[in-house]
Parts: sequence; structure tokens; C-alpha cells
Amino acid sequence: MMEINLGHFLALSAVLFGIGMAGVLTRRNAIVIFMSIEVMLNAANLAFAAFAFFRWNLTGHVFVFMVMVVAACEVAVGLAIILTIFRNRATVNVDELDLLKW
Amino acid sequence: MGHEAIQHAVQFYAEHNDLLILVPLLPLLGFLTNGLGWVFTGSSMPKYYRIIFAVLLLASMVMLILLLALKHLGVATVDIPEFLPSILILFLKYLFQAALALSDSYALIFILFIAILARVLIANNLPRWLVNVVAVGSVAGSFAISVELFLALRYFPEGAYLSQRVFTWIAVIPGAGLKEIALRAPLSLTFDRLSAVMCLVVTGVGGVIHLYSTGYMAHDQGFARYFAYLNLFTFAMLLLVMGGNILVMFVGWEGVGLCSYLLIGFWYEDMEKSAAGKKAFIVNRIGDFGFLVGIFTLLWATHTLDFYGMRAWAANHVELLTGGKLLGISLATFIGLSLFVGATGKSAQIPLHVWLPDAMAGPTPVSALIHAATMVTAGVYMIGRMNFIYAHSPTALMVVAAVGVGTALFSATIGFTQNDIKKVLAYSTVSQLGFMFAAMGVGAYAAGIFHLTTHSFFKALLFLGAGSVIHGLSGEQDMRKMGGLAGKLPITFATMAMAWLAISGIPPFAGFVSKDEILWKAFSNGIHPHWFNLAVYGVGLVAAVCTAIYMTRLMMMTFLTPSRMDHHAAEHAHESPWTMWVPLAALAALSVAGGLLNWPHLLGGGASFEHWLEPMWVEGAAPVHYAESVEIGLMLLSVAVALAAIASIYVLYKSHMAKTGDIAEGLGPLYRASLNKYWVDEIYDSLVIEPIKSLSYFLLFRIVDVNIVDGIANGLGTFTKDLAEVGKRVQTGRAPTYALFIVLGLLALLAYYYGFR
Amino acid sequence: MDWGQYTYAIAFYAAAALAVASAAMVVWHRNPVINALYLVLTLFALAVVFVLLHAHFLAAVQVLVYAGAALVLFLLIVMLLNLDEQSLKIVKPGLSQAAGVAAVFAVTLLIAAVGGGLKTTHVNESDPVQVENFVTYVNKVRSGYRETTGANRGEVLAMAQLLLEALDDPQMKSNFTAPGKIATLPESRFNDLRKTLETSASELHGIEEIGPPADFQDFSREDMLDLLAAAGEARLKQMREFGTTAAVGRLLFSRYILPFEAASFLLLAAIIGVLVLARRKPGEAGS
Repeated sequence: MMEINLGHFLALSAVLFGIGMAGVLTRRNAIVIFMSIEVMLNAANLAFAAFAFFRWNLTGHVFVFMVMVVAACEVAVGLAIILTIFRNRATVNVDELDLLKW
Repeated sequence: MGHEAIQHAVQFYAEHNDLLILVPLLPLLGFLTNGLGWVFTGSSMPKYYRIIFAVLLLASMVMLILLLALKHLGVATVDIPEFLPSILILFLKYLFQAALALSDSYALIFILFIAILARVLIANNLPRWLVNVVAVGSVAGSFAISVELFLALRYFPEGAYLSQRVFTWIAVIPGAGLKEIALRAPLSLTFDRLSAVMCLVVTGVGGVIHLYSTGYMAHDQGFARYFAYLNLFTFAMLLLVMGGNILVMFVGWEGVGLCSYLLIGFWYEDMEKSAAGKKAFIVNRIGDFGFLVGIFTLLWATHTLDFYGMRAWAANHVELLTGGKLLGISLATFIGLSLFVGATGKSAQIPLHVWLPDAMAGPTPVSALIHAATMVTAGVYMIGRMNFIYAHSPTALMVVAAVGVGTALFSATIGFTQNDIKKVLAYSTVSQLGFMFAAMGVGAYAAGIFHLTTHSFFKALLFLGAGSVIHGLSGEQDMRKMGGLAGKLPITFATMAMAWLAISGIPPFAGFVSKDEILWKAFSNGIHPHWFNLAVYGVGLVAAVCTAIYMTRLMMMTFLTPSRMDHHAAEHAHESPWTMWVPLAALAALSVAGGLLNWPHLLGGGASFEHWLEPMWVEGAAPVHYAESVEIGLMLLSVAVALAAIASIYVLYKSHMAKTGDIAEGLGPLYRASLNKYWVDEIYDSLVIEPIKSLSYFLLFRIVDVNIVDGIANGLGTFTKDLAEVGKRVQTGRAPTYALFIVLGLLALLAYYYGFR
Repeated sequence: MDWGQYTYAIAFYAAAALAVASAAMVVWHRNPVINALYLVLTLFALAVVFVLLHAHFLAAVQVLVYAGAALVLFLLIVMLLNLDEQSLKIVKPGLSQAAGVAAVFAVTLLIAAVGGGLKTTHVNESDPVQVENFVTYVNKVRSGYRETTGANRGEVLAMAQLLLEALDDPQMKSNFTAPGKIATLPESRFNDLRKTLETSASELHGIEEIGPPADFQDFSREDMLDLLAAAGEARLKQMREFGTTAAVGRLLFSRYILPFEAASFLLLAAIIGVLVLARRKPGEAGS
């Protein structure tokens, strides 16, 4: 219990991932869904960093760097889309965005 | 003829046996020409159809001529250009080979008919004379070839025959599950002595009737259709009599049934007439079921369908035929009875005779051809062909004879009371067919076939004469409104009188010879016990007397009694044109002189007909030997009773015609029974037809069709729709739902890889 | 009790608890502004965990980029849209939501189970203490020390093998200085030497028995031991440098230059996309 090994970090990553996923599936506000996605991405970053440490391989860190870059882009573009949707439909409630329904 | 010449003739015809196919082929070509001409001419057909078809015909004619020329120039192979598509190359190769094998006679005949049809199409009119010439000419050509082949056959040794295999129609090789039964049914034609006789009858009498029809149907609108059907009938009948295996015979059997339907219902706008046509075909079909059972059993037993093959098999497997138990009876009896069921349907014996009187709805030449001379005799011919089976089954022969002679008496009694001239003749036909079956049933096959031949002469003559009367009276068929026509229609009267005497069995006319032969053979055959022979003879004699009675009545009421015609008919009664009375005269001559073909030994003749057909039959039980005096006595007896009958009816109608009504009253229920043909139709209607109709409507339609079949079909549609209604809820259009599905998929993957791997 | 380890564990648990709790609040709270602030807290907690993982550079980047830039953007949008709190009420969760949460727990469990099942090897070339001990021992042997008890001889050999194998790794190579005469060897020969030593080590009984392989008779036993010590040193250096900006940068600009450039390209595309999307069209009412 005291000896923190890879498993602990991965468990933490899994729990965070799960919480993030719960948020994605449950919340109806699109912005909050995005925040939950951020949580999930961070969980993934944590997993990469943990593996990098326990294998003494810096490639994991590089990967985390790339994930952060992508996350930043995604946040920017996603929020821009939400903004556009809000301008058109005056709502960010995903339950009301069901135009794809037949 | 010198021996060498005979050899030469035998060789020639053995090599040129492809003449056989020409006999049925000519009427078929006549059918095609008239039929296609009728279909394609007239205003309802667009012009370009005709032109295209005519062009195709001319192109094929040109190609045929070219191929013929190539053949005669000695070209054996032809280089077909390689750039053509392969299927075209194959077709041309095949065509060229066929043309090489074609004899010139075929090619010329094809070219002739193609030319006629092309001319008709291009000119867009179908002149009557052309139709008549094509129809009568094709049958006449068939007759000519039959005569030639018959003359050739005379030089062949006994038992030899001509046969031609036109093409391999069915060839099923035994494989797994077929248990080594090879089904080989080539379209093969056989011209042996029996076929020769039948061919001559069919084409000869048929040709005469074709000629008659040209006059009878001269004012009918559908003449082209009529002659097309008539030629098709001749083709089918020739296939039937010339068929080399039982399947080809069955094709002809069905073909004549079809043509009978087409021709009886010729004036189809009249519902009753078309119903009569349907009735004929359907009753025929019921008999065909038995025929088919017979064919299947034959195939199963003999593994071959060829007549001569089956005959050889029967010679080697007598124990199997007489001993094998099939449903409790021997194999030969089973086959014989099933085939006889078919004959019952086709040749109108009890209980399937009901279609023949109704068939009088068709034109009179049709009645003459189909229902007197040819189609109805197919059953008799079939029993003659299959005699090698019947010879091993006295039981089946007993049934045949009993049914035959019973029918003879039964329908003869119906003939007493009918007032329609054609109906009397129809029942007369049924009765005479009964005689033929009685002859076959006592083993007197030659006598039966001979009676078939003479019957075709005088019955066709009677029908054509009746047609002449009807034509002369502008459509009147009821005998109660005729009378005194002897003076107005002299030729008709004279020829019909000869037929009347023939059918009544007065010597020396043809009917006397054949009928007497039957009665004698019935009395003296060695197959059945003596009591049976006596019974058959007795019933037959009574039926012969009845025949004389109703025929005399017919002649009296139509010709020799004072006129009961209505005024208009009486004024316009006229003799028929030459196309109608020449056939009458020809048939009359045959009715008179036909007996010479088989003049009995007893009276000093050579019985050449019987001797000619002798090699066709297998050895049967030897006839019982009676003294010559017995035979002469019986002959005199039958002549005497026939003369007595004629005399009494003559006197009755001549002087005491009014009394006929009293006699009818006096006989009461018997009269009514006879007049209503013993209510056979009504009995069938209530016992068979109504139950089937109810079954069909209430069970099959209401329950099976509407509920089950439609239910399944509609149910599938409804089910699919409901399934879709449920399934469409997957698509909510909301992204979170789809995200959930992604997670579920991920879960499934993880579970699979870490749980079950 | 190793106080370092104790501290480490406490730090880890605290940071983990904080991260989980704030993540839960991110997901659960109604008000999106509060959600965003809790997200900041989560990111800081995760930065602490990164430090525990010796990922110093990443921790800094996380705070700078995520907490500093991305979240600010979130807050900006939240404020901009000015959503009514009423419309953000969580309604009673329906079947699909329950299903979602259940699925999530299942996935989490599975991943945690997988992660928890991973074990580290006994002899670990990634354990700095072991490597240091190894280096010390090798140097001792070089100086003539002979081990009499066979207690940890197999372990030492195993460590030697692992280190030799790890020499193939480019990150090790960049830290490795070949001793003495071995530095004169070309790359391929050096690889052969390394591999032969690695395979032959399993037949030895102790590290003192190591000798130059057949092809390399011009080297001495001392050279081999020097090689092993240098490998150990390289490892230690790698471990000391782990997670520093220099190391990451070195890697980023040499081996992973293509992804780096691609990432910058992606950023450019994102910027342009955002500009196009968020542009207000003329005559349109703003939010």
C-alpha cells in the first residue's frame, strides 16, 4: 500500500477517465460535456506519464505533449462550434440538437 | 414384282426413313401457315410486326436455299468468320449441320410454306382459297406419302417396320437415386402395319373432311382459325398413331384433346358451346390420369418406353406380368386397367362418355372428324398397340369387353329418343365405340381395328350428311322439324342411305362384315369362359338391333316422312355444293365396298385385312372351334333381326307416325330416362362437381388462400414494419446517445479481450 | 520505514483524492462556472501527480497551457453565453443516463483491474538504487574483489544483462560514454560485442568470470568490466535527467521533430478554423 507502483497511477487514471466519461454521457450542457472530455484527456495524459516513469522512457512525455496540443486545438474549435450553434438555436442543450434524427 | 425390285424397294425405304416425319409434318406446317397468317393479318396488328416477320421468313428461306445449294455443290464444311460472337457461330454451325442432314424434300416443303406465309404477310390479306388449298393440300400430301409408305411396307417381310428417330427428346441417364431406370424418350416415329392402317384412315378420311369443311365453313368468319385447328388436330393424331414410344403417343393424345377443346368451342362467344369444349377436355383429362399411371407403371416395370422394346420385354417376363402383385392384382392387369381408364376418357365409354354428346356444339365436320373417325378411336388403337400386355391379363380384357358392350347397349337405348339429329349420331358413335372395345376385349384386335376403319367411313358419312342437311335447312337440327328431304337433297339422301344400311349391318355393306366379325369372335373366343362369351354376344346382338332401330328412325324422320319443316326452311332447302357432296360420295363408295377389305373366309373371301395385321398381335388363346354351320347360323340371325328391326320401324314411321307419341307415353319412365340420357350429367353434377366446388370455395379459397397465404404475405410486411418501428428508435439524433453506444462498444471490446480470450 | 517512500505515498494519495474529488464536482455541479473552476483544481492536482512522476516539464506545461489558456477560454465562453441557471437544472436522470453511468463504472473497473495487474520485475534496471549498487560492485570487482558467497551473484549477472540490453535504447546511448579502448570500436562491432556479452553472461557464475569474447581478444577483462560500469553510469544519468526540460526538448527536437511540426500545423489549422467559425456575420445579432 505504501509502495506506490504503476498500478496505483493507472487506477487513478482509470477513475478519472470514468468520471469524465460519466460527465460526457450524463450532462446536457454542451460546454460541461467539453469539460468532461478535458478530464478524460487528462486521465489519459496521466497514464502516459506513469508508463514513461516506470519504464524510464521519455517517449511518454512527448506523447503527453502532443495530447495537450490536440486538446487545446479541440477546445478552441469545439467552443467555436458551440458558439455558432448557440447563435443559431439559442440553446446549448444537446437534447434539443436532434436534427440528425430521421 | 421381281425379287430384286423388292430388295431395292426395301433398301430404299429403309434408307429414306426420314419420309416418316413428313406425314405429321405437313399438317403441322399447314397449321403454322394458316395460324400465323390469321394472327398476323387483319387490322389489329401493327404494320411493322408483319413486315419484320415477313422479312425474317424471307431471310430464312434464302438461307435454306443457299444451304441446299451448298450441299449439292458438295461443300461439306463452311468457314464461319471468327469475329462473330461465339453463340452465333454455334448457331450457324448447328444450322449448317442440320441443313446438310436435311433431305431435299423437307427443304422444298419448308420453302413452299415459308413462301406462302411471306406472301400472305406482305399482302396483309388471307384469301379463303389460299387457306383452303393449304389446309386440304397438306393433308392430301400427308395421305399421298402414307399411301406410298404403305405400298412400300407391303414388300417388307412380316413383322418388319419403318422407324425414324427425329431427335432425342428426353434422355435421362441413370444416376444415384434413379435406381438404374434410364428414361429415354426420343421423338421416334414407327410405321408398322397397324400404324399404316391408322395413318391411311386419319389422312384419308381427314382429307375428305377437310375438303367438306371448305364448303361447310365457307361463310364463317373464323375459317382460317378453323383450318389451323383442324390441321393441328391432324398433326397430333398422326403423332399419336405413328408414335414409336408411349410418350410420343401421349403427346399426340393430349394434342388431340386440346384440339378437341379448341374445335368444339370454336364458336366461343356462345357460353354453352365453350362450356361443351371445356367439358370435353376436362373429362378427357380425368381419363388421362389413369393413362399416366399406366405409363409410369410401364416405365417402372420395363425400364423402356419404346413399344417394340416393351413387347420384347413382355415376351421375356411373362411370370412377372402375370404373377407380380400390385395392389392385389397382377402387373399386366394393373397396367391394362389403368391404360383402359385413359381409353375410357378418350373414347367416351361409361363412365366418361358424357362429353361426347355435348361435343356436338362444334361444327359438324369437327364432329365427323374428331368424334367419329379419328380422335375417339385413339383408345381402341392404344389397346391394339399394347396388346402384348393385355394378352397376359384375361381379367383386364374381361373388363374392357364388359364396359364396351355395356356402353354399346346403354347409349343405343339413349339414341331411341333424341330429337337432335347430331345427338342421335353422337350416341351412335358411343355405341359403336363400345362394339370396338368389345372386340378388343375378346381378343379380336383385328376385328376391332377393322370396325374402327369401317365405322370411320360410314359414321363420317352420316355426320357429313347430317351437316349437309343442316346446311341445306340453314341451321335446323331438330328432327321433328324435318321430313320429306329425300327429294330436296337427293345426293345427301342417297349417300346417307348407304351409310344407314352399312351401320345396320346389312350385307354386303362394310358395317355388316365388321360387326358380324366382332359378334362371331365374341362368341367363339377362347380367352373368356363360355358364359361370358354368351353374355357379350347377347348384349352385342341386342345393341346391334337397337342400332338398326334408331338409325332407321333417324332416316325416316329426316327424309322419308312427310315434311314438318317450317315454311321458310322448306323453301330454301337446297343441295350442297360440290365441295360437300363429293366427299359424301367418296365415303359412300367406301362404306359400300369397304367390306371387301376383310371379306370373311366363310363367305369365300381372303380376310386380307386380318391377315395384314396378324404380325402385330402376340399369340393369344386359341379360339373355340365351332362347326361352320354355327357361324353361318349366327350370321343369319344377326342379319335377320337387323332386317326385322328396320322393317318394323319403317312401317311404324311410314304409316303410323302419330303412334310414336303413344308409344312414348306408354313407355313412360323408360322414355323419360332415355330422353334425359339416364340423368348421368345430373348425377355427376351432384355427386362430384358440387362437392368439389364447395371444397374449393370454402376450404381452399376462404381458409387457405385468404387466411393462410395472404396472412403470411401480409404478415411478413406488417412484421417488417413493426420491427422497423422498434429499430428506428436507435437513431435519436442526439450525440450523447451515440457517445453511449461508443462506450458500450468499448466495454464489449474490453470484455472480449480480457474476459473471454 | 523509508521516510521518502512514506512521504511519496502520502503526497500521492492526497493529490489523487483531490483530483478525483474535483473531477467529480466538475461533472456533478449544476453551475457551469463552478464546473470550470473545479476543473482548474483538478488540473492543479494532476500537476502535482505529474511532479510525483518526475515529469517536471509536463507539470509546468499543464499549468501553463491547460489551466492557463484552455480553461480561460472555457470560462470566457461560459460567461459569453450567459446561460440561465434555470435551464441548466439537472432533471431526474432517465434510463439512458443510468445506463451511461453504469457503463462508465464498468469500463473504469476494467481498466483499473488491468492496470492493477501489472507488476514490476524483481531485478529492475529502472531502479536507481539497484543500478547504483551494481556500478559499485562492478568497480569493486575491477579492483580485484572476489565475491565468496553466491548470494546475489545471479542478480548481478541479470542486471548486467539488462543493462547491456538497454544500451540499445537511443536515450541510453545519448548518455553513454564508452570507456577506453571500446570507444574506438565502430557502431556495428560495438553492437556485436554487446550482444555477445549479453548472451554469454548467462553461462557465467559470477561477474568476475567475465572475459572478452572470442572476436575481441585484443580487449582485456578490465575493459569489459569498465563497459559494464559505464552502462550503469549511463543508466543513472538517464534516471537523474528524467523529465527535465532539457531531456524532453532533446527528444522532441531530434527524434520526434515530425510530430512536433505536425502539431504546430494542427494549431495553425485550428486557429484558422476558429476564426472562420466564430466570425460574426454582418447583420447578425450577437449573443
